[in-house]
Amino acid sequence: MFISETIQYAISGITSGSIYAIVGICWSTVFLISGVLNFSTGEFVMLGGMLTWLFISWGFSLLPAIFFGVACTVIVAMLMERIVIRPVRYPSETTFLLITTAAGSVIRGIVLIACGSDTRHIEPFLGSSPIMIGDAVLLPQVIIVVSVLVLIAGGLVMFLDHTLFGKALRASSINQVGARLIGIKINRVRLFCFGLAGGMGAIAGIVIAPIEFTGYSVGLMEGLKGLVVALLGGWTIRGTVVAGLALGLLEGLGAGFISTGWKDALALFVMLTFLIIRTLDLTSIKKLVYRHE
Amino acid sequence: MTDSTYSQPVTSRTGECQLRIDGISAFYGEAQALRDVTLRLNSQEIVAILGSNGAGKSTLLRVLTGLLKHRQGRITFKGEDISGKEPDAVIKKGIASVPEGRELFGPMTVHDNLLLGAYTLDKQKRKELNDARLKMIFDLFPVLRDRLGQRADTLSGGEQQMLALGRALMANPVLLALDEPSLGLAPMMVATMMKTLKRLCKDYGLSILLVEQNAKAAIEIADYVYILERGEVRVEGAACSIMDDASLQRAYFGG
Ligand SMILES: Nc1ncnc2c1ncn2[C@@H]1O[C@H](COP(=O)(O)OP(=O)(O)O)[C@@H](O)[C@H]1O
Ligand SMILES: [Mg+2]
Repeated sequence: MFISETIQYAISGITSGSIYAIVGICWSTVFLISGVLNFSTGEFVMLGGMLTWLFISWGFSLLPAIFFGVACTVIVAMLMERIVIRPVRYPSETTFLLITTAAGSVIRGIVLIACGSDTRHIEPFLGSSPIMIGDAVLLPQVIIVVSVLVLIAGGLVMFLDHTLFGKALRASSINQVGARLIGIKINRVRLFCFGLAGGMGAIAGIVIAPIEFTGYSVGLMEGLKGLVVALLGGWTIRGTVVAGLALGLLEGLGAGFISTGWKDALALFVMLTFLIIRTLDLTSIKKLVYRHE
Repeated sequence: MTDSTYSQPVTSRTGECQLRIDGISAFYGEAQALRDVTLRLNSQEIVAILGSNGAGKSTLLRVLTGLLKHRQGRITFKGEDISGKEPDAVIKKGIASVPEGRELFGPMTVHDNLLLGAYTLDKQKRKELNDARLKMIFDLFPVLRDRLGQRADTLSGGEQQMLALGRALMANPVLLALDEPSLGLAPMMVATMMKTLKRLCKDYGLSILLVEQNAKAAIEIADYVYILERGEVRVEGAACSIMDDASLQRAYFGG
């Protein structure tokens, strides 16, 4: 009994962890190229789910609805880069934080007005007859979620390491002046990365919608947790995947064995602890101590 | 310093004019870094731009490569106006550069750095040229072949210079614009680097715009020399005439 319970919680943890990992990768895709912490990353996840739901409700079948859901989110993400980010005259982290947070609110507001505040549901892609592992239930949708993570993370690694354009993306994130001098159009690269983040976020939002529902406000938490795992993972793909799954497992087991109410608090607690430890400046603390002696 | 005494009329040089920089002025904010700079470079020529620290040499290359917008003047390359063009357009026209500070991609391998040099070539051209280019680069700098799989930031200063030059060569350029390629090299290596540049010009038909603080080394291989001072061209002349001038020797080459 205990074992299958643990397996059950682990399955649910890995499911949400996979989504955190994808969202974390979306954060890094934009951050590493443009230095922008995009606080509307979570809204891409929400848009993917909501738009797909919308297209389905208009009578599209699943695959076309997914296609248009992703495509529209990609367009929104690229428009955002073009209209909101690129024209900034005096770029700074604070400016971008405010701008992207505001853009996120606008997106959320539009969806709220257009689709209402109800939670929405997409039918599981492969039906809902479960695969049993002992007494634990494994839904086919979970397998889809995990496969999508594997495809996205693996595909991205292949793309970045083995294609010239992928290498150019890495080069741009390492050294912009050098990248421009070898002829990389840095503006296009940024636009591409926003679009890529939009697309990956949308896919995450779509595949999770049959399990966790979707709604105009789901982007807030998903976005924040994506940021946590990107930070924990050191902005690398491998690190983010590990951190995402770890956070998911921690939440899943914590919610199962302790209390569901702890779930979101746990993630924020991990993030705060990590941020505080990382920003602690040991030498200045020493100085402080000495001054008071 | 009385100017223009040493200047020769530009028209006394033979060869087909490839690059013409005409009355360029450039600013950082309100501070003027270049004042009405005019120079020309003929095909297969090495033109040295000398001058002390802060004279505006790197700024001139930044304007040429499209990193910095100038306020006045015109740059013509092979008869075409390229002033104000973005860096990617400039490199596509055939001007590749080794910038100040190298600007390599440190965490990436030597091989990737080289491959990225050919980024602007179309796929077909890359296929045709890459292998031959790599062979040529290994021929010029054998050490790079041994370092291929290594991260660029693990190379020594001299090796990084070679890599930066190699990366520029991968773009299959007509003109190389080099910012102090001898910086940080041991004296022996400086001579080798200069010989290599001469070879690129003689054997491979490249033209070179060579910015240097190491005036002695540069003038040895240069055909024509411009000396910048506080953003202006102070002196220009054929390399041999500048070398023979005693007062210039004292002022710029340390006696
Ligand atoms: N990024 C910059 N911002 C402001 N001023 C600069 C910048 N780069 C160079 N300068 C100024 O422009 C002048 C020319 O600099 P530079 O072209 O780097 O000289 P050089 O390469 O001949 O040593 C100097 O006075 C320098 O202080
Ligand atoms: Mg300089």
